Amino acid sequence: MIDLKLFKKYILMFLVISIGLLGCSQIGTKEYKKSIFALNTYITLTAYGGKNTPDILDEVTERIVEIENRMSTEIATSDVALINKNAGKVPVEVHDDTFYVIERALWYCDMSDGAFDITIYPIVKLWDITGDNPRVPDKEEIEALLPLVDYRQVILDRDEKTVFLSKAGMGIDLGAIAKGYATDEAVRILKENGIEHALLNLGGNIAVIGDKPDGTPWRIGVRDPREEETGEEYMAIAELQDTSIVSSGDYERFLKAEYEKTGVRYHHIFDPRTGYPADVGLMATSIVADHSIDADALSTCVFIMGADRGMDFLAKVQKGNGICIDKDKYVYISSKLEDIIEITGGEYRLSK
Amino acid sequence: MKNLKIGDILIYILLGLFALVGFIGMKSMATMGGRRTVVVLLDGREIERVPISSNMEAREIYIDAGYGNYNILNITDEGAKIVKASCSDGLCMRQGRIDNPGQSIVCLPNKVVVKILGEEGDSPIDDVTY
Repeated sequence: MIDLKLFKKYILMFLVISIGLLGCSQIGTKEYKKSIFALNTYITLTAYGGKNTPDILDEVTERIVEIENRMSTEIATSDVALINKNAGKVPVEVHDDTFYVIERALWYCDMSDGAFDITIYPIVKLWDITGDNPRVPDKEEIEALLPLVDYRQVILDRDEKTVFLSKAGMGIDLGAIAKGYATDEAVRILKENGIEHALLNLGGNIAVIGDKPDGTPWRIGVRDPREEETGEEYMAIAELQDTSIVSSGDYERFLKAEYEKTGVRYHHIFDPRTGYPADVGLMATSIVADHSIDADALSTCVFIMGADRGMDFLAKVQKGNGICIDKDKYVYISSKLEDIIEITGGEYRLSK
Repeated sequence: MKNLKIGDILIYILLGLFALVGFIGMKSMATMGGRRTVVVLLDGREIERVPISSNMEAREIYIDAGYGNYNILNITDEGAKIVKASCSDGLCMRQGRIDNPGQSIVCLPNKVVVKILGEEGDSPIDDVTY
C-alpha cells in the first residue's frame, strides 16, 4: 500500500527545494558597515558585497582622509591652508583633485553671481560658529573683512596647476563642496570594485548606489529642521536610486546661547554680501543630483538665495533638483521630484 | 481524491508542520528583536556595552574623552541620552533620547558615538539627510 519509493522521492524533492530556498538568501552579498570621523563630521558607509568588501571600504576611507588632508582649512599642510597662507604673496601648486574642486566651486560662484563664494573664509573664521570660540562679531569687524570676500580674486593657472589669492588676508573654504566631492569619490571607488548596492552618509550628505538589495528604492528621510519642536526626526521621505541628496539648513550648527537669549539663530552658512548668516526665509533645503559635488554646492547656493530665486537657479543650471522649506513651514518641490518626495511631517504644507 | 496515496497525505502533513514551525519561529524571532543594547564608541573603539531591559535601573556613564573632555550618558529602559557634556556645541545633548535600534547620537568634538543595536524593526526610512 505505501509506495515507499514515491515517498522517498517526495522527501528528496522537498529537501532539494528547502536547501535551494535557504541558499538563495545567502548567495553572493552581505551587508558591511564602516564608520569614521573625517572631514569634520561622522561618516557611515554601508555596502553590500562579497568577502572583499571590508577591503574596498578601507580603500574608500583612505581616499576620504586623503581628500581631507588636501582640502581642510584646519590642516596646516593641506593645499587649502597653503593657498590661504600665501594669499597676496605667491601662487601655490596643488594636487589635481584640489584644483578640480576649486574649479568646480568657482563655476558655482560665477553661476550664482556670488551667492556662493568660497572666499568667505575670513568671515567664517571671524564668527567661528563651528570652532572653539564662537561669537557674534561687531558690524565694523564684519564690514572690514567684506572686501576680502570676492571669488574673482582667485587666480587659477591650469598649466601650472596653481592657485593664487590676489589680496593678503584672503582665504578660501571648500567646506560647502569638498564633502560632495569626497562622496563622489567614495561612489566611484565602490562602483569600480563592483559594488551594486550601497548607502553612504558623510555627515548628512547621502549617496546611494543602485537600489536596495531587495530591489526597492532607498528611502531617505529629510531632516525636520525644527525637530526639537515637532519631535519628528524627518518631515519628508525621498525614494532614491543611484543618486545623491545633500541638505543645508539653519538647524545643525548655530550659536545656541545666543538663540536662547535673543531668539536669533546665528548659523554657519554665511551670505557673502552681508557677512551675516543667510536669512532669506528658509529653514532648510535639500538637493538631489547625480553628482554629490553638485548637490553639495547647489544646496548652499539655494539656501543663500531663498526659495524663489533658488528654484529658478536650479532650473537654470540643470545640475540637480530640490526641495525648500521656508520658515512658515511651506514646502517648495522641483517638479521632477514631485513623484519621489512625500511630505510626512504634519505641520508642513506644499506651497502652490 | 480517489488517487490520493498515503505518500501524498504524509507530504501534506509534513508541509503543514513546516509551515507551523516557520510561523512560530518567525513570531519568536520578532519578539526577540525587542532586545536592545546601547554601545558607546570612543574614536571608533567600543568602550561600553549596556543591554536595555524593562525595569532596569537607570544608569549614568561618564565617558572620558581625554584632555578633560567628557559626555555623561543616561541609560534607562526608555533608551539613552547625553545629559551633560564638555563640548562647545552641545549638539549631542540636543539630539535627545534615542530608543530604536539603528539610532545614534554623535558628539563630533569628543569623537563619541552612542548607538542602539538590536533587531531593526520596520523603520520607514533607511537614513536621514541633514
